[in-house]
Amino acid sequence: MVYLRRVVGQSMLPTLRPGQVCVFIKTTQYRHGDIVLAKAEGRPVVKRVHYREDKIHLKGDNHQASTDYIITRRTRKNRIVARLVWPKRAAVWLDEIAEVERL
Amino acid sequence: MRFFKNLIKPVYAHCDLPCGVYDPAQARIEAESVLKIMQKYQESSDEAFRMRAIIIKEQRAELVKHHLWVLWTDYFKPEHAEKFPELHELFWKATKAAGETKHSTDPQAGEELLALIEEIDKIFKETKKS
Repeated sequence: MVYLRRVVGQSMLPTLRPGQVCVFIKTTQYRHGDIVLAKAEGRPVVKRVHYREDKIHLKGDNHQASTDYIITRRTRKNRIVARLVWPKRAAVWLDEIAEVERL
Repeated sequence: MRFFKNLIKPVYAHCDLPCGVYDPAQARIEAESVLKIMQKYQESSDEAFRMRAIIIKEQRAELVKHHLWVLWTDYFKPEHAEKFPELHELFWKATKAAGETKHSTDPQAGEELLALIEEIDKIFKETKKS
């Protein structure tokens, strides 16, 4: 299944701009660094997956303006629905962010 | 073109301003990063790595302060401060502790910061019950 969505908000800057149209495909498989469409607190959100120990954090690339979420095995209210496939450039780790993650 | 764009369902990349979602977890996650960076700094003898660790630790500590201030000034209300009289001092101590982690590489400073955030989290959860 394919999801066509329009970005509202600034938490994924500079990777995704407000108003930008994105394509997601339904998936149950995602990796650290993937941008995903998720249901968080009942709303569809676009965030990046960060694995931290046994939890999955959904974080915006714009740390100063992002409300982030945590997915644990117990948490049913937050879940990942689909993975970003377009724009292709955004689906790739930004070097700067990857730098922080590799530390 | 704009008309067609508006037909596409939105997906939210939002901050706390429009949605009103607050959680001390944001400050805690950044504080956990600060602590981990301090530990890795202590374990490394690579000068380049240690320099990078300090730069990134500064950024993360600043984010801790930011998230604490957002909670303090945007989420908590006068009635919360009335019910939990220690609230203001706790935030003051926590932001001071976040500042301390900027000029310290001792993991103890990171642990103290996390303990204070934990105290704030307990109060936050209490306010959510009512």
